[in-house]
Amino acid sequence: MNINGLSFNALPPIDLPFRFFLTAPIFIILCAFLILFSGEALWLSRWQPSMLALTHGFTLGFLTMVMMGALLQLLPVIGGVGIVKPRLVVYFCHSTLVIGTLCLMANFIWPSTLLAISSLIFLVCSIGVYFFALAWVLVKKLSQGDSIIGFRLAMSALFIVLLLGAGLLSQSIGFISINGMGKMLTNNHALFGLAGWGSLLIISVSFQVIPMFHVAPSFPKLISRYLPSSLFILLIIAFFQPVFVVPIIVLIHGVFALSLLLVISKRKRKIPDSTIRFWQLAALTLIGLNIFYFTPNKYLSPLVSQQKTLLITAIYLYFYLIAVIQGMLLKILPFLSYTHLQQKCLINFSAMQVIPHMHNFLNKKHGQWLFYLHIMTGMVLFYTLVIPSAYWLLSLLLLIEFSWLLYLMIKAMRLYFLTLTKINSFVNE
Amino acid sequence: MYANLTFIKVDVSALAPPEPMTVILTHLARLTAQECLLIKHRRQPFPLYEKLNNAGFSYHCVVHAQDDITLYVFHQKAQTVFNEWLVTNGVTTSGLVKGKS
Repeated sequence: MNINGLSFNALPPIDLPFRFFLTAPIFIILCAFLILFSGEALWLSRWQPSMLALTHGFTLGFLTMVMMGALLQLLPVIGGVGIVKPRLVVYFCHSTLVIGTLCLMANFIWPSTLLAISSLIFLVCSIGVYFFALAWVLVKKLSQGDSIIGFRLAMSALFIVLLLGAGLLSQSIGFISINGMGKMLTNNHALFGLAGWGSLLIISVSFQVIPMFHVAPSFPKLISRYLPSSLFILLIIAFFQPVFVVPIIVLIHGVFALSLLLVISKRKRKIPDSTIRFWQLAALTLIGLNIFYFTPNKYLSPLVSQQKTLLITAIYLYFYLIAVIQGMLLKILPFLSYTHLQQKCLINFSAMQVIPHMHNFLNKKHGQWLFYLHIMTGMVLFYTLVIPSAYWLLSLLLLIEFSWLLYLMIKAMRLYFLTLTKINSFVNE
Repeated sequence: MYANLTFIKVDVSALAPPEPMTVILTHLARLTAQECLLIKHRRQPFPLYEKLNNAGFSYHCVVHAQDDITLYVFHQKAQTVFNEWLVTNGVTTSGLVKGKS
């Protein structure tokens, strides 16, 4: 490891990642209202304006929001170095991401040049600054660990998603012309966003966090070393040969799912854990998606086969990407709260006695409820895609699930600050 | 072992976070200037390093493999004694991460 010229940064202040985490469920709550007020028309096709607003609410408002916050914490833990001026970068990126996403969602529903230009400026600034702040750290030879290599590829994918998205938005307001390439660019924008930025980051994170948090063996070297780069190369090739490459991308996800289940099954401490359940759900989803994807349409009911692409995308998003992120939030919320407080006690070890047990930050049973809610909401999402009249039930369940997640996060945060006050008074005594 | 430094061994490699940190801090709370905490861990506790320096400790980390490291933590005033021990025992400096204020 080359650490010349680098100084070890401590974890960034806890309020920085929590800012992203607390905002994320609010976007899904907003999406729940969008579903409720859009009615059945939203589910007619992926090109419906409300559907585009909904997908960006999920992907930018929730997924990207959490992942941007989580990377801020993961880099110092895994690579040993954090970003420069974290508070300044986070204040800027978080606020512009929130405004940009809201403008973009509004622009899909009420198209206007002002909203389109605003979303373009805010999102390019937000993701652009975040990309360069992290790239500054990632280009340094922090470590040749497989996760760090995966982070670099995921960040590159995010940059490509941004370029494609900015191009599509610029085209919609007449800044540029992309004659006849709109659909191809949109498909690649979605593919790079979900399978590149989303999945690549989750896969790379799993190589570190599953062995670390669950005392499991490392992933097979063949998987951790070659799977992320293979996936990235395939995504690039998919620009030119999507028909041949997309099935391989689906298969690669199946391979990852099998290795994930294998590693999880070999963990040393097999205690019931909602995070593990979310990981298992994600793995089983990817295996199920492989079966569904390769099943010829003639064996599927016409209702299902008509919506196959939308169903695959929705299941991938909800039962894989969002499932893993919720599972990770259940693990890192109490862990980060506890770790940050623990480190404050290095000045006065006796202050450790005021730190509550880690489970007090997030009750295990409350985590289980979130898991069951997620399963129910996912099932209703599947049903709504086929029978759109169930939209109101989906809206209600989304509202309950993500209000519950928000409540759990606020509860953990509150306990953190209460304990911090106690520690500070202990240290000052 | 070097005569003037007592090594206290602790293995946290099979513990799930945040237990390794709890075990390390509990031992550090009792660590005297004549003692060195020898920690067997699966990964480098990077966020701990800066805090250790601020709290008056030094550390040396020897990376044996990606998931196998040995971390030595001792009071900063024991730095010279620890350095002598390193030379005497010929601990490899390959993959060594050092920290002191």
